[in-house]
Amino acid sequence: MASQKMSNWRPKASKRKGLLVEEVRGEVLVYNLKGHRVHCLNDPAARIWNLCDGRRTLKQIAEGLESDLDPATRELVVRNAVAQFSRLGLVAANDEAPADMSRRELARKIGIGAAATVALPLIISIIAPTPAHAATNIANGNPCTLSADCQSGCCCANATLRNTCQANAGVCSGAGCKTS
Amino acid sequence: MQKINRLVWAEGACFESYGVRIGIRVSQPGAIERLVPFLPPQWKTIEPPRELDALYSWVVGGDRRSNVRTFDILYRGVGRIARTLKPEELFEIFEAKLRITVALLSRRFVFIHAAAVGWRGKAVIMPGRSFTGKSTLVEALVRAGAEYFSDEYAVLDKNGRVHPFAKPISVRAPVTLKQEPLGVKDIGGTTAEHPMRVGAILATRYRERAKSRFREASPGQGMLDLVANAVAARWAPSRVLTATRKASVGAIVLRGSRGEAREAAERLLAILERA
Repeated sequence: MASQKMSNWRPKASKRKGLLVEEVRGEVLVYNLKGHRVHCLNDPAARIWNLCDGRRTLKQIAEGLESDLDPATRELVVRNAVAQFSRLGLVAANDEAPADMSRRELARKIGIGAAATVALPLIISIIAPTPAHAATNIANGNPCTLSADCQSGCCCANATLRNTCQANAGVCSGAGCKTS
Repeated sequence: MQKINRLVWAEGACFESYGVRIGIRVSQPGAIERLVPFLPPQWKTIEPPRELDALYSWVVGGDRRSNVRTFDILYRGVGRIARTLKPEELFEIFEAKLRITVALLSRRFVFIHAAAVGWRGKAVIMPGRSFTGKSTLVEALVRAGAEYFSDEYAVLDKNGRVHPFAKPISVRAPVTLKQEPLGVKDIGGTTAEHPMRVGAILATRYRERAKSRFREASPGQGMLDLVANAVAARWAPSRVLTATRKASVGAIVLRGSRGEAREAAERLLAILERA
């Protein structure tokens, strides 16, 4: 029954107001303003995503792709990619969608070597940095001169942890965090 | 704001850097001159505009009477950002905060936390946070003949070209790890004067005893590396995406760990020569 529902699923790419989309030489970058996640879809993933128009089934999307893979394998690849899209909010969510496999698991399942995985869909995701995070990113335990340098906002002044970023003022006891 | 405005300000000035309009006011005559060395690159004095992007106010401390010292206090807008008995600490904070302000608020440019050099007429951008070894690698590249753009920000215009942000290279002192300025001319290098198109993006970090190995990646991954280090990524995502796409589209993208800076610089330049 679940398999039937999946077969009838017509995924629709979420190209709504909260997403910014840029294409660069066949790849697609999607910035989700809600949550500030940025996703890079490689060429195979981008082509599948662009075919998610809300009218095509998974099978029809697979048929629409140019690929050396046999039809059944192609559909498996598409199914996995679309499950990923659903998890990441890149298509309208489907609760029936199975958990997506990693690329390595998928390659093993369809019996292709490491070199051939470059032809499989790939999505790399990051969280967009905050301004302070992008500019100074001194993590706890690293040397510092100013509290403003630290991610935590605390450059310790006490004798033991002097001039290292610490999680907070509680960890940096005694003399405490530098006041500047 | 009214509270701060009630203080007596001895002098003030306005300047612009990368299109960002900054005001400074100080409580002591002549104090503004002491702040000039800490202004960001490409600054120029302007007439007071109708609206400022940021206002910094310095209540100058020092010895008032023989046994009394007062704090130096620095405000950005209404918020206090420094209170110290050591003016040099205040200058450090002023410089750091001002750079982030310019990087964040510039409407004409997109600032990427990255090192950048020029090689054979094209820019090489090395995005990365603090402590990834950017300054050391930049020093090695400049010594090898690359033109210096910056060891802190790659400044992209709306067409994806890189502009200089030429502050002195910040080299970390071996024991304290405190940053010390190193002049580009002092190491026989030259500073870029004009913007350049991006020829390469290298995402790397120093690993002790590693051999430098750079593998090629896609333009999309290069763009992602730039966005991951864009100061205004959340502030102006649309502008950031446009500029980083234009920067990445024609660039070679390389990724991988690097070892010693000189070896890494040689390897990188050899790759660029073959491209």
